[in-house]
Amino acid sequence: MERVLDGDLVKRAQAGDEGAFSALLRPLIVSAYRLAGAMLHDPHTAEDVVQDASLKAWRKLRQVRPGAEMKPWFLGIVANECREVRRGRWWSVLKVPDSELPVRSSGDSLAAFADLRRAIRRLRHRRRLLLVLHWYLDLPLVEVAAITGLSEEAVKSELSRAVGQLRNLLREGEA
Amino acid sequence: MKPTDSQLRQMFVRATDEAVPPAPWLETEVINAMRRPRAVRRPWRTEGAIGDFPQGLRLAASLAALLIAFAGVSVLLMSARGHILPESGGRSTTVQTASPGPRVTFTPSPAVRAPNWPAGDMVPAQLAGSWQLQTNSRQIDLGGYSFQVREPSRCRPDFGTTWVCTSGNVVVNGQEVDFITDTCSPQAGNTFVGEFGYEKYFYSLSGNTLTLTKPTDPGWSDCGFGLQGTYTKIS
Repeated sequence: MERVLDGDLVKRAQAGDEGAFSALLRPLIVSAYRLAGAMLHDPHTAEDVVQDASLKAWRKLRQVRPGAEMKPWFLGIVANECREVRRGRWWSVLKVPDSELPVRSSGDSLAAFADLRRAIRRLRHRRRLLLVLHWYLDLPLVEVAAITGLSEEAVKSELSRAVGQLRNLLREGEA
Repeated sequence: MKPTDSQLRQMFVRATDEAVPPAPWLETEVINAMRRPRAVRRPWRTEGAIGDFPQGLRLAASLAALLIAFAGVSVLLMSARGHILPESGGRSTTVQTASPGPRVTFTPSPAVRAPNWPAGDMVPAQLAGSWQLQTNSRQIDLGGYSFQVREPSRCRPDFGTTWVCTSGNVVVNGQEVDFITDTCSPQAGNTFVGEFGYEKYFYSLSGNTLTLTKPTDPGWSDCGFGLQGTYTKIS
């Protein structure tokens, strides 16, 4: 039922109906922001990324194939935007230091989380994206595969490598 | 001790949560931006090339820039010659250049409720008013069947929301308070769960202190408002 409704909305949005596009976009904003925030560890830049991705989605809406779901397509745009931001020249200079992040834990957990975030930031874009999509957004492998354009098998093995690399980076941090 | 994959995942989620504070205003801002005319539909910080504007607007902007530059040079020249405008009493004038940001007047909705809202009454007297979150500048206004959330440092006037992050309706049922907005879609299958598009909290009052607690039961709605916390009454 919902898919039929979504398909209808996509058609209307592709025909230029901004209300239909808003209806499609609205339920995806929180997921998009959480994805961008987890990829960038900077809430302000994450907001910008969601805004940019929304505009880009509107401009590229004709690329959505009939029957295709909006969520993986849109989150794919957000993920690409995050990669562009991280590639950007200024990102390496202006990225938010961990000490400026809002603090909601204390003591040992605070230090452990800071170490973990440092390790996460050292992961390559694709591995970090897979961990964020599967672990943080709790998306099933099939959806992760649709967003990243990988096969489910490739997602599974790359996720396993990502976890291994994360453990190594954490060990390096402790040493 | 080496954490298991499951423990590492939990740590990953908690460490990332610290880096991603809730942004309840974002959905409204993005949707509002989509509804704006195409010529002014710009991301609020990242872009802003004047070249995207129509020729007429570019000409007007150039003229305005010229006028401002001319006025600036004139002021500098007059200051250099000691031409400070006197008041009738002979003292120099004080020109106020800074003005306070626009302030939204909160107008609670009339005492009517829509039939599809969750059960509850309007905001009781002890809960009505403006509340300031103790950990940052976020404020919640409550009155009638209405609420408004604002956080001046985060809600940008250039986004057409005039400092208001989120607003909508509210019903109170015992210690339960439900925040309802049309931007909280009752979509299943993602973070929006529920039938009416509302987010449920429990509240407790102690003098001028209001505490909002969000139930952790995943069956409740989640609009991403992030209103949980301790507030102090400011008016």
